[in-house]
Amino acid sequence: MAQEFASDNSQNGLFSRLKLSNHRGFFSFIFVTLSIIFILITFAAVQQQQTTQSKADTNLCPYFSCNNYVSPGFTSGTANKLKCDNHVCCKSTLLDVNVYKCNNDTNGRLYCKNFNSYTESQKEGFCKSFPSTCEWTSSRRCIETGSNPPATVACAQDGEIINRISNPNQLCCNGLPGERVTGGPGSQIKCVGNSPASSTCVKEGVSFDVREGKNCCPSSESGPIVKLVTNLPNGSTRGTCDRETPILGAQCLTDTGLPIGTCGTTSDKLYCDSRVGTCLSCDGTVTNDNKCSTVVNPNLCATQAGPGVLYYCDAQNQRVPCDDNSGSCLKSSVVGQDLPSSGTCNYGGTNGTWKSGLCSGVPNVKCCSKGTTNPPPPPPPPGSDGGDPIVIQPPTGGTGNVELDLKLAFQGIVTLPKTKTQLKIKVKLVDDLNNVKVNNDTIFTANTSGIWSGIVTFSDVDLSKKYYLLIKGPMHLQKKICDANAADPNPDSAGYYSCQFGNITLRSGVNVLPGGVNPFDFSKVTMLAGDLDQNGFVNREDTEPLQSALLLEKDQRKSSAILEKLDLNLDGIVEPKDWDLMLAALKIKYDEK
Amino acid sequence: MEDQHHQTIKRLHWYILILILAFIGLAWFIFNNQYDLVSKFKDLNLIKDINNQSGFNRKNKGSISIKSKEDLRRYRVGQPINLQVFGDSVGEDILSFDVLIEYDKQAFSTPVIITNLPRYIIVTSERDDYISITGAQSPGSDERSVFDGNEILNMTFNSLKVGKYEIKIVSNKGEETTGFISTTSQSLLPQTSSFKVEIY
Repeated sequence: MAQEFASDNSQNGLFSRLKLSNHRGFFSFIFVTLSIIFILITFAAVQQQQTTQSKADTNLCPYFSCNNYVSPGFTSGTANKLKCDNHVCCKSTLLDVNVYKCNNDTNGRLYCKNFNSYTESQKEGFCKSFPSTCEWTSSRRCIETGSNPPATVACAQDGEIINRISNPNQLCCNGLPGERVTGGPGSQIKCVGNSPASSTCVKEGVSFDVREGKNCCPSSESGPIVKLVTNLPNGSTRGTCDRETPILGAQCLTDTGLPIGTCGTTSDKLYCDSRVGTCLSCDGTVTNDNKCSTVVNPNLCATQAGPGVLYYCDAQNQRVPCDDNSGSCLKSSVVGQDLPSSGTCNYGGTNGTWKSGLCSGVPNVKCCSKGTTNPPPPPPPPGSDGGDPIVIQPPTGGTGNVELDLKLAFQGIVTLPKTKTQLKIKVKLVDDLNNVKVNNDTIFTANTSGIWSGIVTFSDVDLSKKYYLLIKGPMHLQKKICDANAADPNPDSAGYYSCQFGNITLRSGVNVLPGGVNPFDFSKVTMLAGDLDQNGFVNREDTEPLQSALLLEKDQRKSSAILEKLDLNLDGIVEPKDWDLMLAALKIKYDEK
Repeated sequence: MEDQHHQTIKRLHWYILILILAFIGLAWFIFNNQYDLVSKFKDLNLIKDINNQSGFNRKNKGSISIKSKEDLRRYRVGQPINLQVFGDSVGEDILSFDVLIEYDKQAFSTPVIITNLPRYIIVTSERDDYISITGAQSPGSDERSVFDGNEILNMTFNSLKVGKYEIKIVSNKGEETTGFISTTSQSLLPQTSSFKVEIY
């Protein structure tokens, strides 16, 4: 009975039911097992793939180039270091005393949702800059593409009340934060329309007084990046919020070269922020290379009339605001000046003689000695109030011989040099078609302030074109200068003036501005010293001679042979100061072209 | 009946063994996918010899080679790739060196480059398709810096997209060259190497 029971148990058990004891049951078992394993493997592989993909798409930090975040990659001083360290994707590394490099933080993480903490005008742009990773939702939130969006909640129309506790994801349809409901629970928000009377922002097309402290409302429409800006004429207190559409064609790239989209150019005030590869509204000037120049150089003033010119250079080369607010600046407070004040004509003529194009006022005014009355100004342009016009001569066209009174500053030289007061400088004049005229023979002479002056001449210059200059000293990197009265961004960034397109117009003869101002005073642009072998870049073959010389005794470091080649600041001895100058040049490294 | 039951049990043991092996295989598969352990076990991805990994393309004095710190050739997108650059100056005391690194800028973000050489400062400059690195010993240092295969640079690349790529130390780019310069002003043009990596 017991045996029969056992046998029954065996026959009725799980394995017996599977009939494992025969071939058919065995292969069935193997088939089912392998199928399960296959399914599990497939599931695991898919899961793994999704995980990898999610990781790659989620963290946006690899798309940032911290090296260029604090231009040009190296930082000195705590402000730049803080700027680097405050970026979620970057961290600074100490390279030398007070010299840092802004590196990508390998632990840095930036996600699409982080953009929601940016300002209203920025977060949409940032979010749409990563179309493969981030998605801009109708509720004006940035979420990860493919991730589960917050539970869909219909946006609240004007007048509706949102309960922040029960519906934390619900937003006002107008994209505004709404007003806190008074008298009720503090968690309730009432959506209100964005009319000037009830909102802090101003709708498109509505005129308003900027002194009220209001801003234009951000666009709530999806699609191409648009900005609502205040087209406020200079000096006016009333503005209108208008839509500006980017001009297609200017491609916006991240610093890593990833194409993001297109931005506008100079006219629409949108610029490309290559750090994140997005189009942003520029408070300053949008440059030709699609960058935003928000730093207003107090010494920068216009040398030629035209739309958008707000400041003019006066006779002392100081900024003077334009009198009119039309944006054209056809006149300014600058009036014609007698030239020169010393009574001696320094610009090609002699005292009391006349020379074309040297004085302010009108075209073809001649060089006048002190006390000479300027010719009467031309009639004021239509619509102006008849004030004294400033007339900047446009390019005359044709060809001619030009003289440029260049003033240069070389790195480390701030007083009269001890060993040399004259240097032969190479100057190239390049037009917008890259036609080059070369002058390698001009001798420049130093003054007691360490400013080097020289008259550079070029013959048969096409006066209808715009030019830039390439200037290279005997131990220096070549500098590209595109603008009259160019200057380094600030005293702490000597050598960091840079430009792309030539913007210098010339005329026949000596080129000076009205009032005798020399537009070719580049003494605020530092020429970096370090290219000892003059091969166009600073490398080990430039650093080694200086390193070796610094191991010599002091007397040897004063020898003429050493000074001739290695005394970068011309102070009569090769010393660690020269090494510091070399390092500064090494950071730029290449001739500008 | 007793014998039949015994046979069934015996087969059951085999089935259980097969299941255990399958489970181990599955676990290994998943684990490897997660942590790329295959690279530790297979010669395919284990870099034992730099010379095998690198294709020297110049025959001059000294050498500069590159290898991954993790001894890997396969990395995930976004996974940092730590590369070491080793220098051999064949007994020369080096004052400065230049290294030109060529890589696909679409595939990698700008690398972080540092040196652990004492009293050395490095300066990097980005060009269109390569990075130029100049290392220089601070003047006045009495320390000799004879490179005998020691690490002179440490680079961290972050990959941006999948594919097979090569990070190369190139001998020259235009007039620029990779090389050392010694305290006796002797310029060494070393052999250079490259690192091949697969991003998945």
